[in-house]
Amino acid sequence: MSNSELILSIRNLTVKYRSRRGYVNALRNINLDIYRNEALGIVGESGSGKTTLALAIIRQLPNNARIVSGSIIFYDDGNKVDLLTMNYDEFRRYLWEKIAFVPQGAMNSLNPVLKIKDHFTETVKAHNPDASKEEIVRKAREVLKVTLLDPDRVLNSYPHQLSGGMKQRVMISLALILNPAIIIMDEPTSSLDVVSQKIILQNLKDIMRMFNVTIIVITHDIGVVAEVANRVVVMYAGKIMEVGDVESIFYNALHPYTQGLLKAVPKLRGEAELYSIPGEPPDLVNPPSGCSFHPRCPFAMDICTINEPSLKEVNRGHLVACFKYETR
Amino acid sequence: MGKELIKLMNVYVSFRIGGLFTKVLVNVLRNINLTIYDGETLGLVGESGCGKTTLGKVIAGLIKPTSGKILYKGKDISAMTKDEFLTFRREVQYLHQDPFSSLNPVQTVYTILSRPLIKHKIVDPSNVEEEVMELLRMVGLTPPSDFMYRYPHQLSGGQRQRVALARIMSVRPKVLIADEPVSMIDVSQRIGILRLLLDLRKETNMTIIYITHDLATLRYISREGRVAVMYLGGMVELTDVERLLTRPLHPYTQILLSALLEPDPNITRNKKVNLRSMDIPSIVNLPPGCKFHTRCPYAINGICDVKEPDLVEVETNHYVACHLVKGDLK
Amino acid sequence: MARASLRKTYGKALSRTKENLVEAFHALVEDKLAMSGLIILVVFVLMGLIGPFFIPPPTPSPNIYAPPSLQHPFGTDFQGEDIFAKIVYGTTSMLIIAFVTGIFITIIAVLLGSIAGYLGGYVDNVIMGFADILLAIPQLPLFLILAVLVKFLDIVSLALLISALSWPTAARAFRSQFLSLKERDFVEASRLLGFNSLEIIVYDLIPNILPYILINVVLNAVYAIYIVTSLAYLGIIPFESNNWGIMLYQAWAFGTIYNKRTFMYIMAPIGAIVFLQLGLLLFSRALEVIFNPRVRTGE
Repeated sequence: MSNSELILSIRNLTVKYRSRRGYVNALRNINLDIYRNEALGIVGESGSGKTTLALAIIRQLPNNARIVSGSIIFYDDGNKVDLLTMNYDEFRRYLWEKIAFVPQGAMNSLNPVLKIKDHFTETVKAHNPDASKEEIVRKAREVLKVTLLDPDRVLNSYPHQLSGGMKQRVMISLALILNPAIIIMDEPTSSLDVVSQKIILQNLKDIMRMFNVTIIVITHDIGVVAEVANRVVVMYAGKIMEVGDVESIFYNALHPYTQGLLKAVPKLRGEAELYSIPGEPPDLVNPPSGCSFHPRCPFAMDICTINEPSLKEVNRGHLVACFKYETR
Repeated sequence: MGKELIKLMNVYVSFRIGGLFTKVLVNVLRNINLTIYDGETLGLVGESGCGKTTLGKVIAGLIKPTSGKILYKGKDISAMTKDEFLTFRREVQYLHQDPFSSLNPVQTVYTILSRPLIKHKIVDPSNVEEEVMELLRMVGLTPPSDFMYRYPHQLSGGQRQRVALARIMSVRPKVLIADEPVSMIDVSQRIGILRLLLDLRKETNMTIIYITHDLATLRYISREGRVAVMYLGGMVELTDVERLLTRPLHPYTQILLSALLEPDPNITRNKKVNLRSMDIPSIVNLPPGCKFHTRCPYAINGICDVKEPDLVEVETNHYVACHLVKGDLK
Repeated sequence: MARASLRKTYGKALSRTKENLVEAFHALVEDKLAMSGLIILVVFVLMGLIGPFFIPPPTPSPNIYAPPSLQHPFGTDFQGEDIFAKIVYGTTSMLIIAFVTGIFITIIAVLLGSIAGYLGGYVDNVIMGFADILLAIPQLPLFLILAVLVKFLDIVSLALLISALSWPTAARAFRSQFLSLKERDFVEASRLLGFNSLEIIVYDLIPNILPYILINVVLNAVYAIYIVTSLAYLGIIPFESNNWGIMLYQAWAFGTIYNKRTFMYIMAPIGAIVFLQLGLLLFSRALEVIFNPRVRTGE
């Protein structure tokens, strides 16, 4: 990112979940800057903490979660606010208006007894009770067209009359209706078929341009990141392993985990031989000592089992948490 | 290619869905003709709702076709004697997509694996223990003693899928129908499962029918195999995997290939999908003629929306069901 | 290889079972409500089992309608019998009828529910149709009529009769459990491995609802206590004067409710019933904690 104007700055964020087995270390000391108008892809496997990170930003963590430390600074037209410490009633205004969230399997969160039109009215009225119906419908038509839906047909339909792909696009339109600065999408396309997925992702770029919005896409699918992201965060066991622009991550990956992940994905062309990351995902109640990837890492050194590497800038804008790249 | 093992002839499957008074007939599979050869790897590819899972279950004898015949080793499975059917049942196995649902949560790995061994007297009762360990070793769960007495919820997704595979291998199958076996497993563990499938195939020479929406995974599991592309309950293209990837002929296959995301930004961003309509017609209300004509960028009015094309061989071992392709190549 | 490694695996399995038990125990201790249910139930069982060895049986005496005192904690009744002793001596039969009925109802319900749910179709329609007919008949009047026709000879035949008429609600519940379980892939996997319906029901499905079955036994026991108490109160089962329901009936019939001195005469059986029921209901919660590995490990 060359014109890097900060929009969200996460510092030292640590989140734990209480469970009978002990504390689950869902996020450990996360530091991340997110810039205005970028498309950030957060990629990780199950248990990597990617969804917890999203839920922490929108303050919707489940009841058994505890934020141990950290701050999430949101830059709002020159103002700096900490989302985590601000009054919750005040924060609620930020949700949808400034930061919208499209949860995983979002299409199932549409109310089955409300027409799509009413979903838009309800959402807008909750934040702006004076908005007129005509104004809302006009705006709704606009955002529906952006997601390639036919407003005439969709607005008067009930959710069950639409296909999964259409409902997912309705959810994205709903997220856009209040013109938020950030949209966070958790696995936006994982429940869709191949063709709908591609079309929605293709379309996201146009949406970003038209609405001046920052997009954070959370996914386990490297293909999704390759398609939409211009910057990528790789997470593993509750930590950020590597951050960089999409070219650096895909063509010059530094972290052994990122390298392994890229080599582990089957491709449509070229060499068919694949690499598999040995071992099992870590136990987050008792994470491995030192670098949490060391039990599966082919380059693990003695130090990796003792100390935890921190995220360091290796090339411009390319950060990695790995002792391989630390000059001591 | 080996000799004919399974043959599907004019298979139709339809379900009745809906309420008490508003039942509608849904044609999930339409006119499927397919021969599966001994020892080959066949991919069934398509999007959700195309009927690929139903076809897999029809081949496994789990769903009875509404009409048409399925021959196993030349015998109609609906006309088999009880013993013949039990043999067929044992020899044709199905690996489920979701290893969180396919293992009984209250049984230990040992119980899961020993039951079929005891039931079919596959090994001497005194050797059951040893055989269970051998099966665990076979699927890479070593040392076996670490896994034998665990419950499924104590295993990762990849390990569960390995247990499911071990259970299948316990009855020495000839055919394995694998339904998206890695789609619910973490990326880092997928290759391990696919490699295991390849190893087991090499060892036992079993026939694999691999059901997926992901051609890249299919390419990994079966470079030399064949693949059938399905759309809305019908087969639209059938050929070798490599040929399908390099020279797809049916417009739907072409679109499917350009829609597949690839882990390479430069490649994947340059692929564009161009469709007449983005939305798949409902299976309850299928369009007339070619089922793809409502979305096909090349559809010709008066032909494609009137008559449904047959699956014909347009070049050696390359079958396509499209009015446009038929003329050009023959 | 065999011996040594076998011993190793068995040793592992044993230590794992022990681990599970310890885990279950910890979860139980943590759950105060479940634990108190268990304690109440243990008290009642002890009262029924060893109470009679310490407390003399209630015998008529001239000291009638005595107020609570050290000698008679709950006072005495119209024939001068100690009310506390009557409660203690009534416990055994109450527990037996509760659990025998609970077990019978559950056995019938699991049997019919599993067959209806797993096989579906015609069999399902017949069983559930029959259940609906039974459900449509009001229970208490039915027992009243049956009381005229059949003589309730002993506890077990009464339990059998209650079970024969009261299984439909539980059977419906089991049927829906089986309906959802049979859709799980592991059932299909068992079919593919050549197991027949009976084997699948017995080995695959029932173990999955075992905790639910046990909880059902307890809940049906609760139901049985209500029915038996009601029947005794209405004077239909007069075979035993220490029955809490009969005590209630007698307390009512002799008008003790209007007398402050004999207040405990009516409150003691009510209290016993309420506590036993509460104990059972909370105990069913304890069963859930013990048997559900998810609840147990907090995953």
